[in-house]
Amino acid sequence: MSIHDERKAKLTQVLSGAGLDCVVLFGNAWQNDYLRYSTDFAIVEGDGFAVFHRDGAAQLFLESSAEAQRAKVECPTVEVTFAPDLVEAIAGHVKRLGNRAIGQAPLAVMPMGLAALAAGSKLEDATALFDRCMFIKTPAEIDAVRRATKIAEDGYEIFRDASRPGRTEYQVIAEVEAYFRDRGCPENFQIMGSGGVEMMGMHPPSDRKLKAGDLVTTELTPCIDGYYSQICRTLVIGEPTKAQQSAYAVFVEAMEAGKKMLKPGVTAADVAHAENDVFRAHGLGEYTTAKYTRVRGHGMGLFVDGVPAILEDVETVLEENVTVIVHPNTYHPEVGYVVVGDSMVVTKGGSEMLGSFTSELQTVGA
Amino acid sequence: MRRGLLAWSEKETPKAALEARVARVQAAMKAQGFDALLAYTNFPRPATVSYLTHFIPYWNQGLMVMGQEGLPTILVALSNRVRGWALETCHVEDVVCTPRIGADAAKVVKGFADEIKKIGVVDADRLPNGLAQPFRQLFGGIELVDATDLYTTARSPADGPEIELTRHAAAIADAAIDEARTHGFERASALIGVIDGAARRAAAEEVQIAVAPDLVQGTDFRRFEGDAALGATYAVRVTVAYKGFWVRRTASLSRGEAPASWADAAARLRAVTTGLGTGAELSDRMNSTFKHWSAVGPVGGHPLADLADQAAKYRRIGAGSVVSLSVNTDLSDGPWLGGGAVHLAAKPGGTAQLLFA
Repeated sequence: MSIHDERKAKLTQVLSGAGLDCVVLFGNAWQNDYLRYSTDFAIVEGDGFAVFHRDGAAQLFLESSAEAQRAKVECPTVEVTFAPDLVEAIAGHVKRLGNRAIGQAPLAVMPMGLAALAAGSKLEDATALFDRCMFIKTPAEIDAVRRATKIAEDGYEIFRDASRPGRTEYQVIAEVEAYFRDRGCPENFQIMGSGGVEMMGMHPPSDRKLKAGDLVTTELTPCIDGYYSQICRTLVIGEPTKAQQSAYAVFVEAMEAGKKMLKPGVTAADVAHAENDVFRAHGLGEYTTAKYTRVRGHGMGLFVDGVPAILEDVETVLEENVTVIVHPNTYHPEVGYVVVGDSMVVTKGGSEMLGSFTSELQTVGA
Repeated sequence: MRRGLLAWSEKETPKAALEARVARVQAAMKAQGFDALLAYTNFPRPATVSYLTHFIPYWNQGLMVMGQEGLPTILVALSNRVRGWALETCHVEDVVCTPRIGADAAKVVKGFADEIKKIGVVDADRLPNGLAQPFRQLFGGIELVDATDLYTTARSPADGPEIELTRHAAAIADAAIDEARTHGFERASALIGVIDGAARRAAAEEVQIAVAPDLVQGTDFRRFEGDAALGATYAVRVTVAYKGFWVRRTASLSRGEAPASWADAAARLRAVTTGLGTGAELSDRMNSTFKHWSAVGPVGGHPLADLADQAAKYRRIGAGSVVSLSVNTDLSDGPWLGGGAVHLAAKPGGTAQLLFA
């Protein structure tokens, strides 16, 4: 059974259980996971809606004619409509569905035009149902994340070798992107940073030129069959200083503590505490706060930055077959922003690292 | 996510140009009685906000708010640690990093006037309901009025920086395709890799590539997750953004000698596009020459929305605007696909300028 067929089977079961006849899903290249889960279409341009029915039938409404043409070829079992007036088209469709039990997701980004035009149609919030489906991965989904992890690690080697003095950040990322496309990987989430103590975080690649002594950080997140996996690593251009080496060692210790904590039944907060306790033990507790860092890891799958956020106040319970990255990335006052992170799957008895890349501080010649 | 170069060069996009764009929109706001204007942004739908401020979110979502005076403020759901980066890449009153975009944006709007009576929204039907709700709450159930036409009218004709940056985006696409022409590719992924890398090394903000891998088998474009063998003739559709401006270039390529008829088809495309003038008769002119064609360009936040094709006109095409045309035609020795960006004349009698080689 293909990943898409697995997902369809799961969804039909979930809709039946919830008493829903169909669900209306919104998406675009940023928030693509709901469309992808229900139709297997990877939208690139414009916005789109999917309607997934309890019998497994699916329809796509796309505002871009180029995307509609592509969807017809790439998703032959889905009924595709080019809808330049997208919201009007989906609202009309919803009205024609009449008094059926209809869900909608994701509620947070559902366009207000739909609510206005489909007034009178009761659209029940189905976001939690979908999020639950996407949270627990099937074996085929875990395999896709594992394959994405492999290409992430290969991509990191390209990134490391491209990080040479005199090159701009965007030129370094261009090498990684070219490599991914050549490997048949169409999408990647990647931010980076370069410099020293002035570097407070990561961002899209700039035109800053790398230089000897720089710490160069990246989180690199290719997508295979729609599933993302991430690797975070730090490298030094030239010989690492003692400060860089000892700072980095704290991050590896924190990552390992988080990974060790990861098992069914623990919460995201437990994992975050395990990571942050290492920083606190080294007198760096201040740098685990929102002033210096966003999250200590997060879920991964069809959405690159999925639930749960690994934070000390997130009580989501982790279960078997959940995929996450554990990354205690933050600022270190002596060397700047440092990252290290591994992608993991929660297993019956604990957790398993999806890749095998060394956690050692990377170096390239100056 | 957007992972090409996102950087603001004042040399390429002077502050004065951004301020002039904002002033044109504000003049229209005053004329139509709008106290505030909202524009939503995310990386697939960045065009309105990038046009007015140069800000492009690499990830997540944001909202631009603007009063009748002053520069816009951007509220974005990114970490406060990237606020410095955001401020470096745009010309605004402020960038506010917040998870409560709608609520915090409504508070900024409240400061625009003693009484807020009318709020306009570019692409109003797409504004996430969750972002709209705080405005209704703070302003007593105020109606959020669609202001897409107001914005679109103020946006054309294209100004100098828009034309130059679009020309640059088109040159990046041309050069990337030219680099691919020099290889004898057998796999789609190798072709895509070379084009993508070449465009990003040339500082493209975004590159999107689709391939019709074997024109003998069909002319449908696909985005590849994996690979496919290339036929003797194939086509690429390369979409490139540079500093907020987007073009689409379509090209047919061959592994050996190109079919003899291709040069004539390319000449016909060039002839019909230069004759487009202001674009007022675009559909008639294109229909007289090509059975299948399409025109895309910026509409609200969508950087390359469908404007017209052989079947219908979808949006008004502004004189002096930039559109990307694509054609698909059957020739005696097989299909040919081509196209690129065109800068339409601003006034009747003017000549359209081709922005592709």
